[in-house]
Amino acid sequence: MRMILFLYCIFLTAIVSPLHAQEAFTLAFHPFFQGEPLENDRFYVTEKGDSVMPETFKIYLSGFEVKGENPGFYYKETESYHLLDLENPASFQFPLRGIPEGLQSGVLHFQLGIDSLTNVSGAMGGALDPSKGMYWTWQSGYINLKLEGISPSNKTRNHEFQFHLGGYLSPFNAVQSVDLPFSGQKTLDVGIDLSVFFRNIELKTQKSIMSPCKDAVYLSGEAAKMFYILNP
Amino acid sequence: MKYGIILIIAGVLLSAFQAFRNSAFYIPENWPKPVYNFQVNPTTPAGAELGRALFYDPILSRDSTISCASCHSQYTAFTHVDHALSHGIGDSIGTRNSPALMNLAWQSKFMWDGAINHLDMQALAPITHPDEMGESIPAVLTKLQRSELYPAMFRKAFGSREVTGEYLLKALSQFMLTLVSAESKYDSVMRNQAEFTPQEKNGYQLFRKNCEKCHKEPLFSTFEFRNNGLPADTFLNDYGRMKITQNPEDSLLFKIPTLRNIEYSAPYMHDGRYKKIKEVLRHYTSGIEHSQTLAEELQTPVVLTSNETVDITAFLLTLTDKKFLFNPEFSFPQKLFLQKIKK
Ligand code: HEC
Ligand code: HEC
Repeated sequence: MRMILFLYCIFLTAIVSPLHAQEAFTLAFHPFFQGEPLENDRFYVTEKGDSVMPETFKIYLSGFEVKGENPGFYYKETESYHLLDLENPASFQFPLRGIPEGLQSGVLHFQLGIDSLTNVSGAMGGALDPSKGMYWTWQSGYINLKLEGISPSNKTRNHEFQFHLGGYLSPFNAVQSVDLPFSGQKTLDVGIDLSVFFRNIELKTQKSIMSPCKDAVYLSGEAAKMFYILNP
Repeated sequence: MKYGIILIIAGVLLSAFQAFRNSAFYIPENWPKPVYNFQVNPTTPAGAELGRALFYDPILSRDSTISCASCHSQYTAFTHVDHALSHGIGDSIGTRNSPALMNLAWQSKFMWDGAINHLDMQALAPITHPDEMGESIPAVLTKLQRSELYPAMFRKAFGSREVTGEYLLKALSQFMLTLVSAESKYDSVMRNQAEFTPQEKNGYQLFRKNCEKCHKEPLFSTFEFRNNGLPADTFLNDYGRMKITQNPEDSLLFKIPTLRNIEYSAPYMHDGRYKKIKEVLRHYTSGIEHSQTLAEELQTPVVLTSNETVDITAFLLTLTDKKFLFNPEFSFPQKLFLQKIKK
C-alpha cells in the first residue's frame, strides 16, 4: 500500500511539476533519524539510549511565509495549512503557489501547529477536516503533532509510546514558530530529524501525552528544533 | 463602475437575506446578536433538513442503536428523559446529565465544563465516546457515503455528494441552530402581548433580585462558569471547568444553564441530582456549600419564604415554550425516513 502511494506520489509530482515549474517554489520535507532517512519497521536508538520504532508521525505545519533577502520580497501563503503524514508520502511535498520571481535567499517561516483563532472557528475542510484524526473530540482542539510507536524501554504490555501534542489556550498554547534561513533554489529541502524530539525524553518513565499541558508545550518546543535546511 | 459595485453588494445582501429568511433560524426581537458565525456556515433549508436527519439517525453510532435524539429528546427540551446521567451505547452510563438544547447560536462554549469550543465540534464528542455512540469519524463518513439517502442530501446542502467531516458537522449545527425557543408566556409578556398573573409577577421580581445575575434574560444565562454551591459528589469526582483549564480557581465551576423550558428539562444540574424545581430552590435557600470557589453572587444567602418559593416557581413555569417543544419541524423526520424504508 505504502509503495503504491509512494509511486503515485512520484507520478503526481512528475505530471504536476512541469506545469507549475515557472512560478511554483516547492517545499520538500524529509524525515530523518540522526541524519539517516527514516524507514518503516526499523528501530533507532535515541540519545538517551532507548530503542524506538516510530510508526505514526503526523504533523500540522501552517502559516508559511518567505522573507526574501532582496529588499521588499515577501510572500505569504493563503489558506496555509498542511498535514504531513508518514502514511501519505505525497503530503511531505507541496508548492508555495504564486511566489514572486527572483527569490535568491531569505528566511522560510512557518508554524508547527494550528493557531488559536483557527482552533475556535468551527468545522473546516481540507487538511483541517476533523476526520483526519488530528482533532481531540472530547475537548476541542487540534492535535499539532502525533508521534506514536514502539519502544522496548517502555515496560507497558505493548511497549507503546504516544505523544499527542497540542493546545491553543494560554498557558498551554503549544504552537511553535520555525524560522529557517536558506539560499535560493526552486526546491527547498527541509529535514525533520525525529531524534531531536527524543533527545530529552526518558521513555522508561514518560510514554504518553494525550492532552494540552506543560509537558506538551515543552515537547512542542523540542519538536520545532527538528527542522533544518538540507541544502543551505 | 461604482454602480456595478453597488449592484453586486445589493445582490449579495439580498441573497444573504433570502437564505436567512428561508431558513428556520431567526433572531427574536430584542435579543442580542448571536455568537455563531453564520458567514462560514449559512443555514439553508437543505442544510438544516440534512442536519435533522443526522440528528435522528442511529447510523452515527457503532451498532446503529443510538442517535443524538436518544439523549436529546424534543419533548423534554432536547435533554434526556428520566435519567440523571445519560445512557449511551450498551446501556453504559455517562458521567453527566445531558443539557437541554436550545438557542445554541448564542453560546460560545459547550458542555457543562466548556470542553467544546464551537457548536460545530460538539457532535465529535458523543460520536466517538466509547460510552455514548462509540463510533469513529472516518467510519461514520464511510457509512453515510454508502447510504442511499445521504449523498444526495449532502449535494443539496453543500453542492457535493462527497460526505466530509466538515459538512457532517456543519449540517448538524445548522439543524441545532434552528432550535430557537422564544415563544413562551414570558416572551409574550415582554412583547406586551400577555400579562403575568400577580403571582408570576411577584416571582419575576424575586427572580430578578436573586437569580438574574447568572440566569440573565432573555437567554436566562450568561453562559459563564460558576460554582453555585452544590456539594461536590465524591463518587463522580467531577470538578467541572478545572479539568479544562487546570486552574484550581475553576474547581467546581460549571456552565450556567438556561432556565427556558425548565419545567420539561428535569432532572437538574450537571449530574441530574434534583428531580424537582422545588429541590433546586431548596438548594439555593438552604443547601449552598461555602467552598473556596463559591460564586460572589451566592455568598449572601438567598432568602425566600415558602410563598415566595411558590411565586418563583410560577414564574419559572412561564418560560415553557410549547410551540418549541411540539414544533413538527424539530421532530423525527418521519416522511424522509419512511421514504427510505419503502425504497
Ligand atoms: C449518550 C447520550 C448522548 C448522546 C447520544 C448525545 N449526547 Fe449530546 N450531550 C450528552 C451529555 C451528557 C452532554 C453534556 C456532557 C458534558 O457536559 O460533559 C451533552 C451535550 C451536548 C451539547 C452541548 C449543550 C450545551 O449547552 O453545552 C450539544 C450541542 C449536544 N450534546 C449535541 C449532541 C449531538 C449533535 C449528538 C449526536 C451527534 C449528541 N449530542 C449525542 C449526551 C448525549
Ligand atoms: C452564581 C450564579 C447563579 C445564581 C445567582 C443562580 N444560579 Fe442557578 N445555576 C447556576 C449554575 C452554575 C448552575 C449549574 C450548576 C451545576 O450543574 O453544577 C445552575 C443551575 C440551575 C438550575 C438547573 C438547570 C438545569 O437545567 O439543570 C436551576 C433550575 C437554577 N439554577 C435556578 C436558579 C434560580 C431559581 C436562582 C435564583 C434563586 C438561581 N438559579 C441563581 C448559577 C447560578
